[in-house]
Amino acid sequence: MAKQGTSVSEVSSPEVSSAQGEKVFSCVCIGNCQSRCRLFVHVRDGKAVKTSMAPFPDPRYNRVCLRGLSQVQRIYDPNRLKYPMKRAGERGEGKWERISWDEAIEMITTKFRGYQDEFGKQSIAFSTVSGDMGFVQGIYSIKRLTNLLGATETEYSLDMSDTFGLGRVLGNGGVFNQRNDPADLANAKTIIVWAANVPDSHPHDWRFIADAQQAGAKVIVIDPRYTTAAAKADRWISIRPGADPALAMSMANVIITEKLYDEEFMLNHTVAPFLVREDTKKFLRQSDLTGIKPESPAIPDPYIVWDLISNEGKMLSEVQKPALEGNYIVGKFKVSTAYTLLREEMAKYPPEKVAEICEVEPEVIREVARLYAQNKPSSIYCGFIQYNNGLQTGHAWGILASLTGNIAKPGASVGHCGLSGYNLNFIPYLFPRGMNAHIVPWIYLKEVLKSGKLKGRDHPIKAMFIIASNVVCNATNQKEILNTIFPALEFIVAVDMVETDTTKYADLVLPAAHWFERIDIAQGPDQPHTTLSEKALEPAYESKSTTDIYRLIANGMGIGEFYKHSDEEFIQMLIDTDLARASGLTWENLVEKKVIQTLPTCWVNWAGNKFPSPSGRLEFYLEDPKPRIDCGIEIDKSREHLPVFTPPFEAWPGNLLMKKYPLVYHTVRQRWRLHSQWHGTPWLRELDAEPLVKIHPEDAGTRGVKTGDVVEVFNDRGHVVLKAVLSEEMRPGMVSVPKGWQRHQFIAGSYQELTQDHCNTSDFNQSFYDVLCEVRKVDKSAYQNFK
Amino acid sequence: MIRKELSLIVNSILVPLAAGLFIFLAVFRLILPDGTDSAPVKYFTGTGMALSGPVILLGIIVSLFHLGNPFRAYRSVKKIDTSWLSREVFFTGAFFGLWLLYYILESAGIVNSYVICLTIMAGFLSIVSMANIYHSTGKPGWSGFNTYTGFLGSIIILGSVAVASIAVFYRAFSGEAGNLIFISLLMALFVTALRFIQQSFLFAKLKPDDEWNMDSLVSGSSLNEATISRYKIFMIAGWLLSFTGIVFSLLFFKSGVLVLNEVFAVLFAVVLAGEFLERCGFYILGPE
Amino acid sequence: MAEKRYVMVVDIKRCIGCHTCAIACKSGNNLPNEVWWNRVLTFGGKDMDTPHGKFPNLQKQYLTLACQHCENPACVKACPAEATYKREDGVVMQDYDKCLGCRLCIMACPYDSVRTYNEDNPEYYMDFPIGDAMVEPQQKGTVSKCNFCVDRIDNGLLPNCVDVCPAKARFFGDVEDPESEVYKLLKSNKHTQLLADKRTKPSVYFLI
Repeated sequence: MAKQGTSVSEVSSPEVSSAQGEKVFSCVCIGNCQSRCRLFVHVRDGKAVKTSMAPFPDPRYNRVCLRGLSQVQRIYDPNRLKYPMKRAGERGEGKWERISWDEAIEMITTKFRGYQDEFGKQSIAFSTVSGDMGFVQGIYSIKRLTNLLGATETEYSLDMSDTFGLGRVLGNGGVFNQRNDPADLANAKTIIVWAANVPDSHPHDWRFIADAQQAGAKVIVIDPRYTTAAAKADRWISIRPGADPALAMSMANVIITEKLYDEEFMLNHTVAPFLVREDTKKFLRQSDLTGIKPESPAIPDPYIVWDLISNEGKMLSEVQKPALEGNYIVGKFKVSTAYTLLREEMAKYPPEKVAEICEVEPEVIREVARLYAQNKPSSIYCGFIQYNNGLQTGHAWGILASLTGNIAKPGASVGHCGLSGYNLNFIPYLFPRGMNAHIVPWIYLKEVLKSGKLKGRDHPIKAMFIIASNVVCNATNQKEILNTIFPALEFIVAVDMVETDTTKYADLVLPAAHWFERIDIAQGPDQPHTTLSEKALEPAYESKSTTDIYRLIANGMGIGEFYKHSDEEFIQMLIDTDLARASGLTWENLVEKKVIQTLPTCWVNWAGNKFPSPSGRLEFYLEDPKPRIDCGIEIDKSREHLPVFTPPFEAWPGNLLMKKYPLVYHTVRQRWRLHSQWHGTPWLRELDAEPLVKIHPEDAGTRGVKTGDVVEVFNDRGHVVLKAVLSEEMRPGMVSVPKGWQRHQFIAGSYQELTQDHCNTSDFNQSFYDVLCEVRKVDKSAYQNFK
Repeated sequence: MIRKELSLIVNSILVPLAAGLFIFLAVFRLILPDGTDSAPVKYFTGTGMALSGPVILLGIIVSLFHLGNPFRAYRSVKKIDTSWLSREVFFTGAFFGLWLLYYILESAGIVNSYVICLTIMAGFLSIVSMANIYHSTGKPGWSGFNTYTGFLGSIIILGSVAVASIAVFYRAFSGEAGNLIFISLLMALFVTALRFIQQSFLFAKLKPDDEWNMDSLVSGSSLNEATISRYKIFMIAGWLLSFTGIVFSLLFFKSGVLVLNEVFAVLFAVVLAGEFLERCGFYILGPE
Repeated sequence: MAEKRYVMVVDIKRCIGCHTCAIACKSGNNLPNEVWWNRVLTFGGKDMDTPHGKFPNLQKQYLTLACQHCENPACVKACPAEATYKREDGVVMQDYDKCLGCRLCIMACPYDSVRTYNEDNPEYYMDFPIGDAMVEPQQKGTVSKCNFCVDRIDNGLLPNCVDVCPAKARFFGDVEDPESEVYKLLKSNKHTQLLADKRTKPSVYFLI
């Protein structure tokens, strides 16, 4: 049968649009949702009129979401910053004086030079988080300026507890590159989604989980709340908030007890057979036996294992059949295999005992462990553990993969996904004069400001330059930022596209160009491409691209020669690698094709079981655990060789504070915003008009709260006033408030006033969910600024 | 709903009123033997039938306010084959056109029974079409027989009380004419009784749609408790007013005492208000 | 030769309620403020994103709702002005130039709020028209609704809401064509229509 007329097959067609008088540009939605979706930006009469999905070479990666399709409203956001502004009243008062770019740059560079001359190079701090993930315009490029100036760089202290815990096992530490290509999830037979509401936070990953499920895979979601992911899952396990490491270790217990582990994998690809010295807790090495240390750290010092054939300790390479288990004496050393230590430690977490910690039935723990270990390949899709014990959780996930071999294979991986910058040439770009920046984790910044010292040396900080970050809205303990951190700084510059909680408290505000108003490149942590983002529009009003702002500052700071490159030249500098060229990534190709697949489809990380750890194996036993960032603070290593269940810092029944604040407080990420971006986008606000606290009907009932009532959610640190919604999705004993709303969008306070900023000196991470609160019904008229 | 659909509500009161007036009086004329055609009777039937035309016209004009584009109203008869609104517009137009013909002939002293019969039919079909617009939507509260007793009932209720009021004005309530008026008021009473029974059943049937299925979620007819209570209040209040007006009209007629014109004007107003509230209630069940 | 009949297929199992289709529709069709031709309903509790049931025995799904482009459309029958009509390929259209604004289509439609009546002049956030160039401007005093993005499908493109779906839950095509994706999906999957008992024969199918 012949088809009549044209076939309906395409979603976006630059040809059709061009025929209708539109210019179509190829851009990237370059925020930190990990997707880096390609967008066509349709321009008519010099105005962006539409964003549409632009395809990837392999259509299975085609993607766009509600935020990308709302970009026109971000470009023409009513709250866009139009010109540089100097504070005219008190900080936060909202009084501004319009100034020229010349005046603004003069003010910044005069002050920066003054501080650096008087207090040292480190006295100006550059602070960024994730507001712009372009390599040239985004959060990476600030490192060039920071390193050139030898300034302080505030490290973001985010999503790094479990990431680091698992990363230490893998050997790549605090980086997000852990799982395989999200598309590879479709190859899994068991998928455990752990603490992630993937449909909301990573909608383009969920489709692969749905594909797997449609092909018969079992999907298990572990989350206290009945999220959309939980609703879609084959099994939902509502765990007590913050009990995650206990559950993971209990699963390890089951796998060990029921001998469901992959002995072959453990012997060959993990440190299981390595012998751990009882005295130093370190792996026994050849030099321990010979007494001769290798001349340099580059020369390997072979690991010793127990040879079951000759019944003696020998170098790994010489042993055919190493012992998995056992306590031995080798030379003068009492040693045990790493697996023996693991087994002994995990024996402390039998399902019956852990059931009380997690409030999950012992049989459920067993079933999930069996499924993970037996219905292979299995993947664990991890969310970020937002409690003080995330480190242990990540470590335990590493143990699960080590025991079962569910890693480095199609359909089998664990952790987060974040493979980016893999083929780029960062050295000349980020460190043209070497690595001179001083790293201060955001979570530790308060200490540095208080003491004026870092690693025992004087480290005064006088000014802060904030870009691609809305730290007042997104970092924990907002009042502490506004009342302690900011007042300790004499001069704060904030760069943004729109007015935010952070720009409101700055001394000088600079208007940034929108993502489509400058050129950049991006690489998708969640897809295997390198993509060009064209300049579709001129910067609106007086806004400037990040690179143009840096050029002006560099000139004023006397380092202008490092910023003579055009943006295109910076891109060419970055992609000048053999690895890039091998995948076809050249400037000419990029300009012509706009998108180049630079990783294989369904890439598998650590293929061939080559792990980036010192031993090349999965190091589920850490012989020498170190903190994520060296701030000169010692840690208690005895609790970190193997994970030890540590309750959350605040949100746990043992805490006496629970008498006063009995509810666990979650600040959840919803599809309506990306962190705090899109907070003022009119279309999204039509759908999601105001922040709402969700509470279980039982908890609401005892407090006399009904849906629609105005309530105050509060603890000793602060409060937020907003309307309540009763929902059975909430586990009794907890509430959730959506993340990313600005202060003025609440009836009073802010969701971020309640969160705590306890500094865990192993992982230096902000624990957003490790928070207690109470809820009470209030009269909204009591709040003056109610709109 | 009431505020948005006010012009429809008023229209749905005025046209049945006009139809009622015309139909009752035309029938009276056809029934009453020529001999009893006394001057007061002739005056009151003639006046009433003459009045119905302006009332139709007023109803049509008011209904234009319902339209977003009143200047495109001419398009509204394009779909007589399927659209009950097209049919209503057609029959209402025909009703007015035939009434005009009747009026011209009457003024010229010609009585044409065919024209009168056709006018009666057009008026009746206009209201049938009006009722069918709602009945055909299948919405709960609209798809039952109550929609017909509502709209068609208005013909009888408003018609009979209006006829009675005019008769009182012309002192034409004795003899055969008086009997006919009495019978028409009894018909109105019967309609209120019928409505009472129907509403009792409907009240019992209307429940908030708390069934958990996809169809309930997507149908515009899912009623909530508040809507149903509002509906009940309007229906009860409307019914009480109409019922009271009709009962008192009957009592006065039966007693044969001379009543003041003003009293019947008030009774007519009470019934008019009753029908208005009843119609408001009906529209509460419509889509927001 | 079989006639063409366009249908939409939505996989409820895959739909994650993200509202991308709703925004694509809003943006592509330059819909006025507060107007949504395609809405995402939570098939769960009363409020958006809440489940049905008692913790921990819960259920939640999402259901996208727009004009169902019925084969036997109640709205076309009810429209007195030929403003609502059905094309030969099954698309139910609303002609703004012919619409009286009588809203009988809204009353006659079995589905809730798939149409919007522009009581006043349509308002927009931007002072220039956005969306697809071919979109016809909306008018005061008329009713508007989903038209399967006819201008797009007539130009060989998919409706705005289809390929954008992050969950890959939306499909569109000619169900009379045995080669089409929609034909195959309906042939091989359990599916349902909304309010099938109203006998309007909707052209939107939901895989369940």
